[in-house]
Amino acid sequence: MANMTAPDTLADGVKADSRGAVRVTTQDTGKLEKPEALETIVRIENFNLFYGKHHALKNINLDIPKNRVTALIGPSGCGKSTLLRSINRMNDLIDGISYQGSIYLGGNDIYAPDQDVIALRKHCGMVFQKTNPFPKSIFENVIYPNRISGERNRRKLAEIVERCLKRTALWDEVSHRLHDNATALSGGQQQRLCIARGIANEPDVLLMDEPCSALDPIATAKIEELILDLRENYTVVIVTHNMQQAARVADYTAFMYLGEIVEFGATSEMFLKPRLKQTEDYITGRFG
Amino acid sequence: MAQSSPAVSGSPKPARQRRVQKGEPFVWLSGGAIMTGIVLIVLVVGLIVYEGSRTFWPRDLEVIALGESRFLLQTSDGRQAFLDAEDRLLLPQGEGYTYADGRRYALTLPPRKAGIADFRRAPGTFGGLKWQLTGAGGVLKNPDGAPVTPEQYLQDAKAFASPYRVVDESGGFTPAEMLLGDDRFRDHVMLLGAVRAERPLDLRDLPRKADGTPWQAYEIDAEPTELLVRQGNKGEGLQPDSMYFRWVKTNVPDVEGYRRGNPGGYEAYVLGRTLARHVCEIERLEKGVLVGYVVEVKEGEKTLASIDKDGLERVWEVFLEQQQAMHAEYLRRVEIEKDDIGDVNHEIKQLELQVARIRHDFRKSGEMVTAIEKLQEAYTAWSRLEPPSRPDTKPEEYARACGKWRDQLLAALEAWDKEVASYKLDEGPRAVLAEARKAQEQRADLQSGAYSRLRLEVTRLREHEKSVTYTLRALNGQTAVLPVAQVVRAILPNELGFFGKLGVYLDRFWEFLWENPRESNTEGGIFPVIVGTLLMTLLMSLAVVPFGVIAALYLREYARQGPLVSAVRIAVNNLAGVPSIVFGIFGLGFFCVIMGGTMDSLFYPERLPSPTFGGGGLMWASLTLALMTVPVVIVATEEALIAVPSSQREASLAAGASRFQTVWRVILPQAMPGILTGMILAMARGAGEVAPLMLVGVVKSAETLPVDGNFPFIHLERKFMHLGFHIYDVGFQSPDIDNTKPLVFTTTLVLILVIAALNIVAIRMRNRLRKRLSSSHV
Repeated sequence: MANMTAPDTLADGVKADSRGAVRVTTQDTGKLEKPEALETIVRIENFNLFYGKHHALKNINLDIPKNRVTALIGPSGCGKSTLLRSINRMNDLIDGISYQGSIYLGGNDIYAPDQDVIALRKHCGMVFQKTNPFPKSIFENVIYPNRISGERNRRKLAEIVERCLKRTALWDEVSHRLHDNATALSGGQQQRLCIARGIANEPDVLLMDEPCSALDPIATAKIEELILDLRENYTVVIVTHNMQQAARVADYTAFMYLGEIVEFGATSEMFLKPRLKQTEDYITGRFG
Repeated sequence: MAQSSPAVSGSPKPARQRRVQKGEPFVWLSGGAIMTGIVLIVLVVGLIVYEGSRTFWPRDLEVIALGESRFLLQTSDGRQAFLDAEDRLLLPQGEGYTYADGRRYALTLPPRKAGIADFRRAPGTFGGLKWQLTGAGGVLKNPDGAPVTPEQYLQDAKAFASPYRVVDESGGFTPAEMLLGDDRFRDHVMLLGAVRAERPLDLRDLPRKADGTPWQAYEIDAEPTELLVRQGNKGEGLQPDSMYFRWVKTNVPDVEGYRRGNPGGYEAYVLGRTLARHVCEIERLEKGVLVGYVVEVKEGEKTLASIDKDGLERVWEVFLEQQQAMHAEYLRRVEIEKDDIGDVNHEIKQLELQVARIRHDFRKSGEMVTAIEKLQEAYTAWSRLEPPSRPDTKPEEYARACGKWRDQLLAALEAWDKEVASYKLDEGPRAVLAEARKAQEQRADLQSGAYSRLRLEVTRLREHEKSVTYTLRALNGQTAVLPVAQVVRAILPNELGFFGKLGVYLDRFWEFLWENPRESNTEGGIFPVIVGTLLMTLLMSLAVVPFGVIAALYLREYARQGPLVSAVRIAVNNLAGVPSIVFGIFGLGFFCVIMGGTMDSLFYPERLPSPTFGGGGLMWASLTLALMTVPVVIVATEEALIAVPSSQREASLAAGASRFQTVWRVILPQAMPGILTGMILAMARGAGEVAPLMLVGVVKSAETLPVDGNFPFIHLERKFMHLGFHIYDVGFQSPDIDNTKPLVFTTTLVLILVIAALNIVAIRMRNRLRKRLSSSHV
């Protein structure tokens, strides 16, 4: 299923500051092959984040295109996960963080003082590195986001479950045992269930934090297939350690190093001819 | 010198060193520790179960002959005969004693009194003098009034048979010495009773051998034992009340040798014992058991059955029939007294309080207070006019008398109306006064109606209970006539087979669990005690779990972890180590006095100065124990919360749940088994606690249960009984320790069972939850 070329390629060097177009942050000028105007769903502007005195994210600027898969790669500790968790403000749970700058989700400044964090998180689905289904039934796991939003209509809930499980290709495997405990599923199934839970609320973006690192290759392949399918309806931001995975699933890739975005661009461009030496070194495995 | 590494050189290490490195000694150590723990638990529980479960097993009744002589030897001028250690005769002379040859008795150890048994053993010792016999009834005399000589006594076994009579094979009474198989036993005092306890005698406490050295274990066959014999028969003049229980010694080697050497120390030694036939043991409502023979059953003056005419079996049959009927009647009477009269009393009390409440509400208005006080006075004066009720009063007549009595109140109230009419009062207060007047009228209705009727019925029933009587004959031939209704249970233990005894045993256990205590807790059951313990423990759990869980949730889920939270946590942990009596003092000071006192003055001012919540009670006891056990719940809950993986919290929060939703829907369900563990620990600690309870509401004997049929059904202000305190009270505060000591074990067994039952319920709940959560979070 190796899918080395991302379907949409974007010319680098385009400085599209207006909303609705993707900014490319590298300075290199290359050939513009197939210009494409993409809507931006998440826009990160001059974002800085500190753990106490540690400057974890340094002046991040990034536009994440809608209905595309964007991968964040980089060595451990470079701030990929922190950046991902900044998008739904999961970092707020950590004591002693502070930040500057803003992140816009569909035009809203999510770091505005009057932002309702809980409402924000309802717009972002999230999938974690470690599978974490609740020790409840499969059914209840999927509709957890809807339950907490107060949805009580049983038919509607059943529809949501069916839709989400079908989208995550889990329906055929579990439709006959929706009321079994979710912890009895295999690791890969559990992770797909978590993805189903992540999209049950029809979120604007789906944030995935190394979703395959705890899974075997077959389960990983399934999840990757799933991510490509999800692109139809959702915007996916995925953090991964696995360069091949980024190349396989991501339309765009951002390479981060020491809390900074070093290079961002179409995945095919980045992997075939990275503009910066640092990027090339990382991708080819010479460091990191 | 370079040290060569053993691993490289390959030289084998000493075995000891290898073992230490493998950690084997520690494995042995921990294994030994756990085994010691298990053995201790098994021993403790085993002892309690063994002792506690055999209390109610019916014991056989035995005739026991003691060393004590029934008659002492006196000279005809009334001088007591004595014997020295070599069985030589001494007579008192002045300050001391002299032998027959005129020598003085030189030892400081006083000689022992000579009895008829000594005479029988060696009549030669007493030659040359004229003797007479003196016993409990004075000098023993012939029908012609002349004192009986020892020779006469010994010759005529029939005329001078012992008064101790037992039933023989033919169903008649024969002297007990026949049963023991030796005529000589008629010289001795005998007992009839059940052995209730035994304990080994220390050889060093035994009389020494003839050569003055102590007995050694290898020299004796049977182990010398001390027996506790329950003779019963208290309070009916059948025998001295102090003889209800008697310790006697058996299997003592060489009693004869001891008899010679020790003055007065020989009485309690068992010379012979045997089972008696057809002897009965009767448990009564009061004054303990009776042991003897039922010889007659009468209703009024009419004899229903007597042993002379109808024979043993028939009397027993009639006795049992009557006992069942009459005891059922007694139970019905008690039910009327407790339930029916209790309900009416409750209503009367409520009406009385209503008037008191009005007086309290208008305490600022002099005229109102005067009016109400006059009203109360009128009522009190009226209630003194109550027509007397006797057992022979006819109900219709009495009802008529009560009707008249009721009318007298109307007259008194009219007089009161006139007086109050002159008071300067507004419409409002007047309406209130009318209410008070109505309440008094209703109260009088109850008092002269239902209450009087029930009381008359009770008086009549009481009288009827006295009508059927039985005559009990004790071993010594004394008889007593007693009411059958007072008999709780009558058995012939020696006639029962194993299953018969088992039936009695189960019946007694059933009674123990479901009946009220009698005789200041020494008899009857412990039902209110069990109810009190259960209620208190459940209320405590209800109070402690929400409180502890909320506190732990705040500490773990909401509060920012820092020095302050750490300090709070340390304080909470230390709270668990505070002696429980300190909590009792706190409960007394804070709950009973401050909170209870405030509640009384706010909500129950009319009842003051008698406290409602201002004293100890179920609620304050539960809260005090809740306070004492809350650290256990907090610590357990915190542990359970820590054990919920943070990935679960993240999953929930990332799905857009608020902190509360996360706690409520994800964390609490997963922490619930741990929380229940905390509850189990708290319950176990709380249910067994005694010291603080004594200060905040547990009493030796509570008149009413904390639950009944009157609104609000659970009476939190009432005092209650508790198993832990009951054990202490029965075992160590009882007037009758010998009787109640076995009950201590049984009550302890019940306490253990109650706690075990509570724990099992909680543990099952926890396991069901665990299964539902299906632990694996991989």
